[in-house]
Amino acid sequence: MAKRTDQGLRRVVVALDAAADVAAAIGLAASVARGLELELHALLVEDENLRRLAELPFSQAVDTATARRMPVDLVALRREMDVTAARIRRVLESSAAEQPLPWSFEVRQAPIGAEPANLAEDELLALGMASRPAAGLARMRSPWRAVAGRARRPLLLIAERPSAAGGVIAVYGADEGERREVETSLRIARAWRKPLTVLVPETIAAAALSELHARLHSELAEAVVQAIAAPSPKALREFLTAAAASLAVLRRESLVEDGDLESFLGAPPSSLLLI
Amino acid sequence: MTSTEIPVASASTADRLRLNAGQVYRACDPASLPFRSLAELEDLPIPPGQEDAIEALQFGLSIGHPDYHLYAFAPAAETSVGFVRDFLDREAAKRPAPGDLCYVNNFESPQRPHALSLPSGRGAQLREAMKTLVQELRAVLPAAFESEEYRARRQVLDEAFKQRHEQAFEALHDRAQKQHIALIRTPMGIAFAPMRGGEVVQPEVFQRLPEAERKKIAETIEGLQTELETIIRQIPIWARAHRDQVRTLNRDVTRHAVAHLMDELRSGFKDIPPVMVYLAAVERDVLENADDFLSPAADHGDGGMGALREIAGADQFAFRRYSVNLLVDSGGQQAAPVIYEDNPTVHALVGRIEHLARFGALLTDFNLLKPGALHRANGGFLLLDAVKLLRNGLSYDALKRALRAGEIRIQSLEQMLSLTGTVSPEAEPVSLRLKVVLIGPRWLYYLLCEADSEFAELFKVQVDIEDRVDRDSGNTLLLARSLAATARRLRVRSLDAGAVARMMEFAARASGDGMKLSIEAPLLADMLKQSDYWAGQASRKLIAAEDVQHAIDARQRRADRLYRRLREQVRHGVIGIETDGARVGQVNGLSVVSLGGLSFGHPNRITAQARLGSGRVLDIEREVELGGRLHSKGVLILCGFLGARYTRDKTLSLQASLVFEQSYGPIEGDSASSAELYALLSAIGLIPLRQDLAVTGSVDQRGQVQAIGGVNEKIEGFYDTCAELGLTGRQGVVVPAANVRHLMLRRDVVAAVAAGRFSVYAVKTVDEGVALLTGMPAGEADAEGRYPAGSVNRAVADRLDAFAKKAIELGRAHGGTDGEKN
Repeated sequence: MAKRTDQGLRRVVVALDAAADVAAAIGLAASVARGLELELHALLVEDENLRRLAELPFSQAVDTATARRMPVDLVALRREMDVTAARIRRVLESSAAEQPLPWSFEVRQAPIGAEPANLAEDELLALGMASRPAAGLARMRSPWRAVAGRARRPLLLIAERPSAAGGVIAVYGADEGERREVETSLRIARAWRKPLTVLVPETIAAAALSELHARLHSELAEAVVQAIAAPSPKALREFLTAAAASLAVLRRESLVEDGDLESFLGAPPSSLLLI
Repeated sequence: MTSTEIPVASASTADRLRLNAGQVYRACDPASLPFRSLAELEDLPIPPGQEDAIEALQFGLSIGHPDYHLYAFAPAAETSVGFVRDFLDREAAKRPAPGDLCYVNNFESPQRPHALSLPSGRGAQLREAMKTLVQELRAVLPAAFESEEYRARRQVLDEAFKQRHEQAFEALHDRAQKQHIALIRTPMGIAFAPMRGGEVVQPEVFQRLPEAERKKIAETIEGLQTELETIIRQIPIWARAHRDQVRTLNRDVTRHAVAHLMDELRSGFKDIPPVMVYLAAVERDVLENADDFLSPAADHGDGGMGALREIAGADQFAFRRYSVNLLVDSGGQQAAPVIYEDNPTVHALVGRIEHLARFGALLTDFNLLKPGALHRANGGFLLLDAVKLLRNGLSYDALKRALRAGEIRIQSLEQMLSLTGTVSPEAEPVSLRLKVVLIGPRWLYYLLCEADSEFAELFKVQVDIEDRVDRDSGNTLLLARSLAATARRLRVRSLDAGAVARMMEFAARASGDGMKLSIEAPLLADMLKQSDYWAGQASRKLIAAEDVQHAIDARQRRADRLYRRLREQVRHGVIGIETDGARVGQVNGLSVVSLGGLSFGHPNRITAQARLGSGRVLDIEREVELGGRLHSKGVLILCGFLGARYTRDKTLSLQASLVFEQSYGPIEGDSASSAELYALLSAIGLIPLRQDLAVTGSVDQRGQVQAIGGVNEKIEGFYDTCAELGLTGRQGVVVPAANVRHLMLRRDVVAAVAAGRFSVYAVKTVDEGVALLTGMPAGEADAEGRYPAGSVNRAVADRLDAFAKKAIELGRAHGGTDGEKN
């Protein structure tokens, strides 16, 4: 396939670590890739810090189920990582075949929490935002959260329990950038055969609204336009939570308006496609 | 053996011994009956002749001691069951209905369900009340747990629980960060590592650090690891505390929701303390397990029963533990129970534990406990057929165990036999208070008393049930009333006096004694039904004597095909029976064949051979093991008779043989011993015997002829054979005089006797019989023991003397010692 979309995207690169819910993350990334007619590339990052830890003289881990100390052995780590890679590859193969779409898989050793090196501009970086179990009910933040906060590129942020079963939501303010959001969300909703809700500010001009209606209904019967007072991050969070949408297509700027990006990324109410 | 002219006894001897028609059939004169039809008579509630049995029953049922159970001697089980059951029903009506019996869950130990005894009718009330309670709880509790108040309180607890984890972990994380230590998630767990520039220190960089710094880092990490261990160890404690808090909350909410329901339920059973105890346990269980009403399949931690519910997969299964298994419901009963268990298997007696097959597993609980006859009869009477009880090997022991212990314990067969089986409830035993009446044959009672001391200790009251009564006018009237009751009960036509008279004659014949009346209810009821059928065929309103006779004849015809085939073979000479002429050493004996419901008599040719020998009478039947013990005894008695009468002071130098000709089956009984003796005397004395007479009767060593059984059938059998071959007017049967009272011959035989075409002779001694059969006087010994010339005894004695002398001669010739000194 390897063709570029009108946003100039070629493929979705889903960055993965050894987290348990990779299957769901790959599933959503594959669905978005299909919606946008992109390739899917899975990048398993083997944490460089783990290797370093294993080579330190006091490398020990505390088993969270038994509170017993276990040596962090490099050989055992390697074995675990190989098993993880094989598992992820199987999941990837299965998800890609289901869509279907072209796919590739790569394993790199790097510190987790750093943006994967060598990403091209036409690659949509997909990151899992789900927290990881720590001990008991306590959880650790996703190591990709920092990347999401820093990255200045299109991102697909995958929520805690991602699914493509719900609808798609976009925010439209009639400027050119937001027109792209609507087009992208329209393509995904059409591919997913799910309803599309476009949020518009109450202040939108009648002509723009009319144009939007015409555009939407020419492409998708199940598209609605809903006016909100102001598409602030807080209002968006509340709307997304109530709508139980699968994906929201937004401009990054619409989330940083109140300087609230960090808390929004912490636990996004749905998966986000930030353009 | 040669055929000779027929010897004829002197007219005076034959006449003296010959019976007239009135002696061979004791008719019942309809005119003697004080009614014209049974419709005039009142029912007789109790069969006649059972005064002793009733007294025993009253005693056994009234005596309070638990080891006084009853054993009724039953000549015919059906008759006895009907009689005893009727009596028990009347007794039970005077006694109150027992209470209900329920099994309920034992919430502390579900494997051991509790038994609850309640007043009559209250068991069903409790069962319904519990059913209603569960239904209401299923509505009330979900509503309570879905309320905003509950959710808010629960959320507070859950959040606090979660925060406790997070705060502890966050604090650890923060402390690590402040000390430049990274907290890293590894496949083995959580690890700590020193940080530089946001990343874990390279190992080679770490090695280059000063010793003191490395040591400090190691100590810091050790401290953090210990702290993490402490947090992880705390987690189950926090979880338990959280569960306790949730449980307390749930109990509070549940208690509030169920309080009024339980109060309402309790108010209906305040007068029954055990039920109040049970309801308190129910309430506790509901409080502890309110979750079940929200999610029925949840495990309850009650061992196998939880698995039972899960596997069963039905919502209702979760609430089976609140069910009431009403084992005995006596609601609506006005009297004590009377239970007749026709098939007393061990489970039918003491109850059983049923299982449900679910996905290949057998599961059970207290709801699957089923009552046995002992449960249903508790507080009343249990009637059992003793033979059937003993046929079910384990049942007898189970019954005794229950009676001895005074309690009923429901056990699976595996538990009883100590075999490995499925997990089964160990139901709480139920107190047992009832009277057991066993009905069985007399011999079985004596056998059990002999063989089983426990039996004698438990069944101390013997009830002797009569199956026949004396035939007098009083009993005739009582039996007529009993017949009237039976006819009404069976809804058959009533009987006119003639039919009643014929029924009485039938009852006498059935009793095997012309002076008795059979009171076997099933037999008489069958005859009533069949007579009614023939009366219907004849379009009669009342059953007449002809209908009864028709029923008797038809019944006989339906069953006598084999009998007719036997006579046919006699007629064709296949079976050699002679009914005319005379032969030496051959006599017609008589035997009875019983097949199904029919008994018939049949002549057998008995022959004897005599020669010089060593004093032995050879019973060929015994030699080939066809003769039974009693038959052999009869033959040995003959030896005793011969020795005592003819060779008291000499050696019996006789070798004789006796055989039932053309007999191919076993022979039992001694009723042919007189016939065998006649054949033997004939063979020894070379005196021909009449073949137109048949003989029956046993004999003792002194030559006295004794009574035998089946005399009517035997006479009729020989009559039929003679009729088949041609009646001559000289034919007849010689029977023991002691059997005359038993004679109730068939009508055609009676008519032949009355017309002089057939005779029945009654003899008391062998001498009378031998005189009839030989036409010669038997002869009495004089003072010196010598018999008169021309007598049978003389001929026999002379021949035996000759044998003895010959034996002495032969002994001398062979150089032996003298056989005799005199």
